[in-house]
Amino acid sequence: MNSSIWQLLPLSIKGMLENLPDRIRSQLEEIRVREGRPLEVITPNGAWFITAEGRTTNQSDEGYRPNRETCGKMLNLISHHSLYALEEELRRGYVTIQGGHRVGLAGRVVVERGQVKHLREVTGFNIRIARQVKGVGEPLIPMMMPRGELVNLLLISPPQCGKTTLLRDLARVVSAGTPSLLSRKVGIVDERSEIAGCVGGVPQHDVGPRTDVLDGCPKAEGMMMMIRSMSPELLVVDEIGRQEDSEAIFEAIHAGVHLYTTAHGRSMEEVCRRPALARLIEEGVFGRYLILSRARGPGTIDALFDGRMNRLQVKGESLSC
Amino acid sequence: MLKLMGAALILLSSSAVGFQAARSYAERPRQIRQMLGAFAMLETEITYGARRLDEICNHLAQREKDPVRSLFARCAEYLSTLDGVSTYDCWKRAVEEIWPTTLMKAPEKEVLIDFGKTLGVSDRADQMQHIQRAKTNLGTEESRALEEQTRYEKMCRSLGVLAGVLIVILIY
Repeated sequence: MNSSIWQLLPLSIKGMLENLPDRIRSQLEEIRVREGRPLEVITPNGAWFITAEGRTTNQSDEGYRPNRETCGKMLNLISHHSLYALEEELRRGYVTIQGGHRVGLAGRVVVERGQVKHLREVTGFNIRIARQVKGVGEPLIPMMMPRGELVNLLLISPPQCGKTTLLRDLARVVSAGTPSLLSRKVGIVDERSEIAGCVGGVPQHDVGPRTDVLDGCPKAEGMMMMIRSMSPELLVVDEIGRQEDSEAIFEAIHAGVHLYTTAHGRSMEEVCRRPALARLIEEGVFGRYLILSRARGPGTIDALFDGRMNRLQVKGESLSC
Repeated sequence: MLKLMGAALILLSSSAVGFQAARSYAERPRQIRQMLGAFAMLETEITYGARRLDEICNHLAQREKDPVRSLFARCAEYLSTLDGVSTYDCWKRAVEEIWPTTLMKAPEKEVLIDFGKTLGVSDRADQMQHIQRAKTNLGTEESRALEEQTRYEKMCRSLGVLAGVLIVILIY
């Protein structure tokens, strides 16, 4: 497993995870540490508690329970003893670390004037291990770019189906180009540091050589900033849904910029019920709709539609996300 | 002749003791001032730069001279190697370890250790407050040390010499 993740773990927990069998260790998706509750790991094949000896178990009372000291150590390691440098991260509830992995945080929230100010007494950690799967988007490119031209794309999927992975790879492919495809300038507005996984402003995932990233920037504002200053040919934005997002998208489209974006949902009907998205769809903004599910593992392609809602045939129908 | 040489030796050694004592009075405010300088830097790096604490410590260790240098160097080392023990413990260990090499006194040590309790564990506004409080406290100690310097530095030197003279007269 990745060394930047080992660095976050106190020695005691590190020892337990080192004893895990290889087939689990190499497939880890999440490591969950909760104060006073059993240590848990999650892989695509299931979830297990971990005993103090580093065995997997299904019995929650056999699991090793981290105490307050261990959680304190973990927070020190994650923050590098510098909570003041994580003000924004504590407000949002997660930290992006080297390698593009993310640590979600839970605990007691301090509120000021109705807004979350920061987290105190962090007692829950969720280390989400990011795996960039290069090349997942490539087989889709001919469908996404008829006659080699960019078309606006909306990716629809429930969480954990490989939406962000696919979006990242599409951005990379468009930015790098392929033998049959011209490379283009790409601008990523990465509000939650998920697409590029920036640390200190530098993308930790490969998002292509001609890609600019606005990290941690609100989407609507970020799209306008990108258009004004970086002249992208393709804008990549994660999870649109608010009113101001759709307004910014109209602005972008009319400025001649293309857009790849995603939305949470299981089907076209579900997405059409959301007012901000419904308007975009009615106006025919998107030229392609791609619906993902987890039916045959993450990255299963449920359906691909063109702008007039005609179903298109996809080869393979499953990406190795 | 031998007697004369002995007398000279006594005089020399007692003056040396006096000068040594005087030096500690002169060095103490200087070292406090140096510490204050490092704290000003720490404040900027934390409140404006928001850099990581271990990086700041390393940076300060490169800029400053001993004993401040070794304090921050040790602290940086402990922060990055001690399996996430609290920032306070790292800082306290560093202070305890370098203390024998400094000429500062107990009140400054107390200020420094007390400051360690708050280091790194809150947001920027709060960190700034604590650093400023530590700076004020160090400033008070500095003026006290300066006062002592003017009062005792010369006195120690003359006392050393005079004590030597006295002993020589008595045993001559």
